[in-house]
Amino acid sequence: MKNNPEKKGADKMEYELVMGLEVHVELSTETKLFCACSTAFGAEPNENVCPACCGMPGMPPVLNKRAVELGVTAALLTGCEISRTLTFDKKNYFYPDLPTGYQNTQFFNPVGRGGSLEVETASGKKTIRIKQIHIEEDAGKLVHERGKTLVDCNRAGVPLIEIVSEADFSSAEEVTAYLERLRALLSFANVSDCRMQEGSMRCDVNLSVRPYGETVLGTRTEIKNMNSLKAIARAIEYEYGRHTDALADKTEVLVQETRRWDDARGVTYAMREKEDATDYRYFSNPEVLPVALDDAWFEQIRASVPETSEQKKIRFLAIGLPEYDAAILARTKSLADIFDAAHAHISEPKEISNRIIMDLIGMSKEAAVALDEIKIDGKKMARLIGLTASGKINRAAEKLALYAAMAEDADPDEFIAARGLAMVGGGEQLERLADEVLAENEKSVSEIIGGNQKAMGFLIGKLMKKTEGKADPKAAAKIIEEKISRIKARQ
Amino acid sequence: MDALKFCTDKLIMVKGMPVCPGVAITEGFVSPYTAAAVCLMTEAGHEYAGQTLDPCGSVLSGECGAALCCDVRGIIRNEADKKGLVYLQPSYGTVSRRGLVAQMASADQTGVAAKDAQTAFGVLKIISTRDDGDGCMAPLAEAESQSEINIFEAEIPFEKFLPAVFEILYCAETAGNVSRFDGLKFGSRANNTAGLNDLYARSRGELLCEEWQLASAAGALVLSKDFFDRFYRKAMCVRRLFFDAVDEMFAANKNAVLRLPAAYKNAHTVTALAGVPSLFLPGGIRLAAPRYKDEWLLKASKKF
Ligand SMILES: [Zn+2]
Repeated sequence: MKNNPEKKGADKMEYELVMGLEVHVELSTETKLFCACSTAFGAEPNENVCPACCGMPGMPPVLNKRAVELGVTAALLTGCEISRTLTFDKKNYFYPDLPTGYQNTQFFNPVGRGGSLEVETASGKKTIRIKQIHIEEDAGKLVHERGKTLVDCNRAGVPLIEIVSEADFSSAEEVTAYLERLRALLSFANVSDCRMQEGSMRCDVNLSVRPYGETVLGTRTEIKNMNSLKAIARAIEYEYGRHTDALADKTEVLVQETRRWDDARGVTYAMREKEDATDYRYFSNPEVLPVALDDAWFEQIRASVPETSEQKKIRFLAIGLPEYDAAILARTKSLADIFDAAHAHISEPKEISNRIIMDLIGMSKEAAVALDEIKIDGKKMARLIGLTASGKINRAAEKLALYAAMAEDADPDEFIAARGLAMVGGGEQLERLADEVLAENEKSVSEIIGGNQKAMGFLIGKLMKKTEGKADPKAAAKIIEEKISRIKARQ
Repeated sequence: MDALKFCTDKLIMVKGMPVCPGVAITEGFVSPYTAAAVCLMTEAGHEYAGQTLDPCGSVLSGECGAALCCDVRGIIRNEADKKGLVYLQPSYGTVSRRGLVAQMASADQTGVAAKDAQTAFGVLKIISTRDDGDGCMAPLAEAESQSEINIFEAEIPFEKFLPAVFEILYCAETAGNVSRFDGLKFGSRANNTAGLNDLYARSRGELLCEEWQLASAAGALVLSKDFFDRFYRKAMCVRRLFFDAVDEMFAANKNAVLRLPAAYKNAHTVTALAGVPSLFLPGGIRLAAPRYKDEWLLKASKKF
């Protein structure tokens, strides 16, 4: 269990780790939750803003129905019971990144309740219960610059869902497996791109430690600010150590608090406390009328929920892919999409899978393209597989063309023609070149005839060189063998 | 309707003009856009005469033919009453709230002060155009041919609770809506503050107008964990009961508008909590109609 917290002393083995997660996921809508501003990542500060999401008075909210649909989709994917009336509430607090002074969230009536997700770790399968999923809006971002604090509202009003689990996690490994599962599920269904680095997936961990057998939970800390799975695992490990030290060695008195993870130093530290025990004065937002999720709309959403990675894997296995291949393809949406696109044009699943797993994954690294952003025209890929299978090109040429198709969307036939990569066939040209090779290397020929087969490889190499690598090595070997046996027969 | 001059009260935003003139915390904040209702009026050929702190005076003097107002608390209505003017408060959701500084958003609605009912309804016809920028717009009215409208008198259901229910909800909603005026943006801030919390507290303590300060304090209280059930939740329950009771009352009196007693001081709570339209006519005549039956008020007004 590589991510399991390190247990320093034998006595610390007696402490059980108990965790619950709050995962925020940015919904992949085009526009914000209550205005028409773009949600695109990476814009100039305050480029994607309007009076509404800047918090100006006089701008009534207009609910984005797409966000509701994605929230319902997420709740369906995690087996939640769906609320058929959607309401939004105001969470009131003052902070510079919150332009209106309140955040719209679903406090009283979350879209989903009582779901679960199964995770698999080295210690087996486990079901993590999901307490609720609610839709809410993101806040802006504070930028500290030259002694000043500036507010960027691009993110203000971007729709999120918060997925709140029960305190069912007992190792960092389970947390990682759960987040990977969630990411696979939500990105497959286009609910979110779930990119931790860009902040479109964020995870807060509520952690406490207690002696095994104890039923009362220990003092709880909430850890924030981890922006990778690795950071989350490290932060959990660190906090587990800190809590067990405090309990076993009385190194400090634990208090209920929020702590930030400092990735560079590998430690957590207490956040400067906001107003303690903030009362958010929740109440239903009267400007957002309750939205009824009627049967027709609900069925429409349910029908449009795309295949999950599990369903994809089952389908890949059914068409004859081995377990290993099916698992890899099903795990990453971009790869599964490429497979399906190519499979629509060529009916050899294993051939396609080989190209994706053995060629494309490596090529994406070479081209510095993230795996989930890798793109290639499935038709072009299928064409290349066909060209190789029919002996028109060899694997080396196919790889070059495949890379060009991925990086520049190059057309396989044009690329092969332009680079002169077409194979020198078994015909007259190869025969003539083979004759040349034999004439130029009489010594090797007589060695072979004398019974020394070692020189055979040398001659085949010479022939391949003459064809500039465009011959099928098998065809080259065959023609050399035939010609030598003919000479032998004549002698 | 002939072209007329119209003015607006301080809660209606107009591009290039101050927002909530007279409130210190919004001083220096210039509206970047014009309220939907004002746009509709100018597009229909009526001349915008500017903002005023005394809309009724402006109509009384003849300077303007009509004033667009947001009168949740009934203050402008009473002023119109005193000056012998007509005040029309339309059904909630009839006029777009875009460009209206929200206070009690569940009741905020642009009304019209004018010299006669005909003018007020002429203005309402223009400003009640549907707007997708307001998610609370009323459903489109069905055409009807009710010629005869009667008038009835009745006891107001839940009457003794209405002022308290109104105050609780007004304060809770207003507290939330004016929290955007925090000293950081949209106007002015207190000087020489020490840190963020001090900036919030002193700006709001020194510069927010008294009405908003009281609403913010009372609103925070009725929404707090300890008092939510006792005040806010209970007020919402009574409002729901009242809303339904008003519908029942009108259903029991077919094709009729309600005449409120002249001495009744809380007419604004009825319109605010039930979202029904009301019309104040000179001489203490106060009429209320079923929701979205604003036209009935015009027909009934001809009887006086
Ligand atoms: Zn916006």
